[in-house]
Amino acid sequence: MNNWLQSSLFVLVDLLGLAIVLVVVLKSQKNTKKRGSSTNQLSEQAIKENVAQIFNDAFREELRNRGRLHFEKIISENAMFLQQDLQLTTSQLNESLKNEVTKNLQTEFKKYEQSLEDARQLAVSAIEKTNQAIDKEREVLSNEIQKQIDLEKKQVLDNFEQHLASIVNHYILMAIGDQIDLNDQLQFIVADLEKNKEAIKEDVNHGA
Amino acid sequence: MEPKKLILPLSIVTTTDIDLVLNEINDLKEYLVQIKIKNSDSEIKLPHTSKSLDNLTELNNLDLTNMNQVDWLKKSTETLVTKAPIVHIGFSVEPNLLLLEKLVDWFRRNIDSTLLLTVGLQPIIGAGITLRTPNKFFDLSLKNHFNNLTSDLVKLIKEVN
Repeated sequence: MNNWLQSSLFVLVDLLGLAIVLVVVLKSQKNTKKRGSSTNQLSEQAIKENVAQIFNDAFREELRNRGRLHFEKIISENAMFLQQDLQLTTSQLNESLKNEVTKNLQTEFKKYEQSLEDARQLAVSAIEKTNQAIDKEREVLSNEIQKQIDLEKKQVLDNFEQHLASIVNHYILMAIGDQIDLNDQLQFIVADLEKNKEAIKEDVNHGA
Repeated sequence: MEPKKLILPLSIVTTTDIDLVLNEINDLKEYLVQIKIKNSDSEIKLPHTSKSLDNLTELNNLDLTNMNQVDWLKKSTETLVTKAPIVHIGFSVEPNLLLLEKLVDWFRRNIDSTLLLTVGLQPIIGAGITLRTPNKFFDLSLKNHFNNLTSDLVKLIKEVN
């Protein structure tokens, strides 16, 4: 747009220059007139005729054509400038839009990434807490199971020892039971009876 | 003079023995009654009697030809059958008579002079006896002795382990 104004200004300057040239010519002719009053009238007439000859229709048409061509040229140049300017503006606009969109997308992506990171951290934290809880529960359970195992082991061992003692007792009784003569036992039987004499006497005399 | 309290010989040990003696006394009394009815003046020849009855009459200085003494003996024996204290003894094997006599002697000297025994078998006790009085049970067996020592045996087993 600025180029178009600049071109128009150039045309106006050209026309102004031409007008100045004509004024200077006319001025010199006036000066010449002042030198001779008699010749002035002829000169004026001659000038008018010269001017009329110079600025005849053909010259005017030529000027008009030149102006039109120049104007067309200026318009064409300006159109080109306008097109270039428009292309530049479009390009800048595209670039700006692209930058803006990219910026927005990057911002959104950053937000999205932050959200993902937060979610990941949350998930990791939850998993860690769950793992800790599971570890704790497993430890408690393990301790409890170990206690139960120890208890059962002790019970089994105690039962085994008791049974072993019973087996030993039974074996000894079976082994020696028939081998000891009752007459040999009499001394021990009487000794046991003596130990329990008072209790036996009490029950026999007063218990019935 | 008649004895006031019947003294039991060691040959009468169990309730079965006293029952047999009582039956024998009843038979003897019936025999004496019949003899008296047949020949009241003739000499009485007694039938053969058991060793237990012989010991009983001898120990109590009784004359079995005398009806009054036989009556007394019968009544005293019947009293014993119903009222004598009874103790049950369990052995691991069948006891011999000598052992029973020694045991009943101890009971009659230390507990009651008219005490009678009942005898049972408990092979599981190994050795020793079990004794059951009217209200109590005394386990004087080797098995019980071992059971009392079980904790010591378990301790020894643990020490071995």
